[in-house]
Amino acid sequence: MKKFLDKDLLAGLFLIGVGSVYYYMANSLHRSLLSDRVGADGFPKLLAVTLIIFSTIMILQSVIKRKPSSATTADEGDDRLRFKFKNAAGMLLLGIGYLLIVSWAGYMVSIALLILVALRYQGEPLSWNMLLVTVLAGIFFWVFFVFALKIPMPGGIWPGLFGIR
Amino acid sequence: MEGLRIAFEVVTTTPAVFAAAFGVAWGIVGGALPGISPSISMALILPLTYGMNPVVAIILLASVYVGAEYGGSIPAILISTPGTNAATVTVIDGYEMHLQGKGGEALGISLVTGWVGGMAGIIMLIFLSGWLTKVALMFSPAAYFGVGVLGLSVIASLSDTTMVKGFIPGVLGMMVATIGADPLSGVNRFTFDRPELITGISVIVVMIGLFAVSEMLIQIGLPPWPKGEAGVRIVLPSIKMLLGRLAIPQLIGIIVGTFEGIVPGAGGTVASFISYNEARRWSKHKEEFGKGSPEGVAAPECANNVVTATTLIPVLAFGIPGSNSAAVLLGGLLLHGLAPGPQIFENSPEVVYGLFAGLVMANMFMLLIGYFTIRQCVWLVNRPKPYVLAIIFGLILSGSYTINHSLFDPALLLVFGVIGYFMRYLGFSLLAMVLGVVLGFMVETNFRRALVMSAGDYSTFWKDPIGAVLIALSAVFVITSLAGTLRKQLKK
Repeated sequence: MKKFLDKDLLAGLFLIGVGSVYYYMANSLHRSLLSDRVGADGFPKLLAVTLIIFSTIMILQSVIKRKPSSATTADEGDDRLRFKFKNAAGMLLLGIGYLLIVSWAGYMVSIALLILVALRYQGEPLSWNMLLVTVLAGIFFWVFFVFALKIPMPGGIWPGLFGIR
Repeated sequence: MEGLRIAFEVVTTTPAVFAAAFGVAWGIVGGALPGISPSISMALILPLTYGMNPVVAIILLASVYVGAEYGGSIPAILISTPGTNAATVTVIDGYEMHLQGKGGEALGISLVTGWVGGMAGIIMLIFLSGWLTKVALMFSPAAYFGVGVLGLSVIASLSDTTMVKGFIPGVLGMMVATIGADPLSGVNRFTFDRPELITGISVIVVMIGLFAVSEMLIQIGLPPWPKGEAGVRIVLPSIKMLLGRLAIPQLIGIIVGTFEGIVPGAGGTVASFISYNEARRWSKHKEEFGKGSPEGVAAPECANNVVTATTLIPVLAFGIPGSNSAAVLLGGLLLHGLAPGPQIFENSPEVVYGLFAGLVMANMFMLLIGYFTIRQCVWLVNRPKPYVLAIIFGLILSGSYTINHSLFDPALLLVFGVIGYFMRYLGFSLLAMVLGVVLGFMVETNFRRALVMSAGDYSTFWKDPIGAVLIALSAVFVITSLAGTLRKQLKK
């Protein structure tokens, strides 16, 4: 429970920071001649103040409910079981990597690579079966989005290499 | 009669039938995968509806919801792992029946009572939303402001821990809604000179990020899903059983499902728990509950399928999504430029009546596809989890690109995925944030419009009778939620 409260405290402080920055940015918005009585900054300022108030309440609740015991509770154990930050961060990095290469590697190659690396990252052993699945998935995704849905997915360097417009 | 004609026209002149069939199949598979909730199944397919006829797109999304609610009961019965939250209570007696060698019967009861619930829900939806057409033209900006406030008041009931954990994401959602050009003055707000942000952040990106990406980031650290029995066959309940022993549980499911579907914030999960308890209370075989009672499967499965239709009442009537799945459906309406709220009956009757027809078709397909493809569903669900997650990740990133044909959206999607992940870690309500994003624009714009129209007179909000009633209702809703929370804390 202690850890649960600590994370609430940290989140509350972070959100007060978010509210303050948001208020500052709202205050910096220029006033248009077309503006109404409330203005473009009125609602955002109200939201910023509301967020700061609620975050303060959350911090106070966290401090008031804090217990001296540091024993692990069922809640905390459940959280540890469910939220594995390193695994999540790794998967997120794969997504970022995909976004970085898709413009030049092209959609079909990038999506196949993403699936392959995501499988390896989750501990699947490299096999012919896996390679076949990733190649087929890349082709299927490309056919589905580019041909069936007519979405102009990034072509990458390949059309230039093969002289295709 | 006019509505029936429009519904018939939609069914016969558009690919709505195929959309309903595909949506149900997709929903059953999505619902059957533990962790992939109905809302995630819907969110995954939402960007793909971009180029579609709006009616077909909405039917597709609603059909996914219908299919997913049944799909969730498959792993609940076969492997004691609910595929959806609403199927949690089905585990109690469904899995017990499976252990007694009656898994096929349990699946049959789930399928048929779910169908009965779905059809009853559609009748309720048509009946209860019909009268709204009469008030469609009576809403002023002040009344719309009241609608938005009423929607936001739902947030008060959305957090499991403290009310403040519902309000904070609601405010954060409204902050996201302020990004882009100010609707009244045209001033760019919080756009960081990025042209992609001038039109604001797409609700779909927010929803897929919060629901689907965050769930994937959680699932990546969890052990593999258990496997289902490959050779299972569905055994349909007899008419005698349906009209005899299962009649009262189904009636309870219909009543509870109708009420919980209409009340924003409740949804299928609450409906299935309440109907299970009520079915036990009214049963002549109370002692069988928890030991493989068919009534214990029928009541919750009927109730959560009623909700698939009745949860659309607040969406269509007020533009207020009462559940995650309803929020995705609302996102679908917004994506296709359809303004939810009372005027949708006046402005887009083909969408409303087409949706009614689509729901009927979806329920028929649920019965057929659910019966004939159970083995294929179990086969798909038994695929290795890493492959399922990797393919879903690819689908999420590809789908988000289709919204604006820009890599900015997938990048933003990952940002909202991280936000959603930490919100779940902290116990914040994801639906509250989505409500904030959806309703923030409505609240701000109509508040300011009402003031412009009344030359800055704030009394316009209580002089407008509809607006005043809605704001008063919001206050009652928040106060009762607050009182409930305080009572719970005092008991502790």
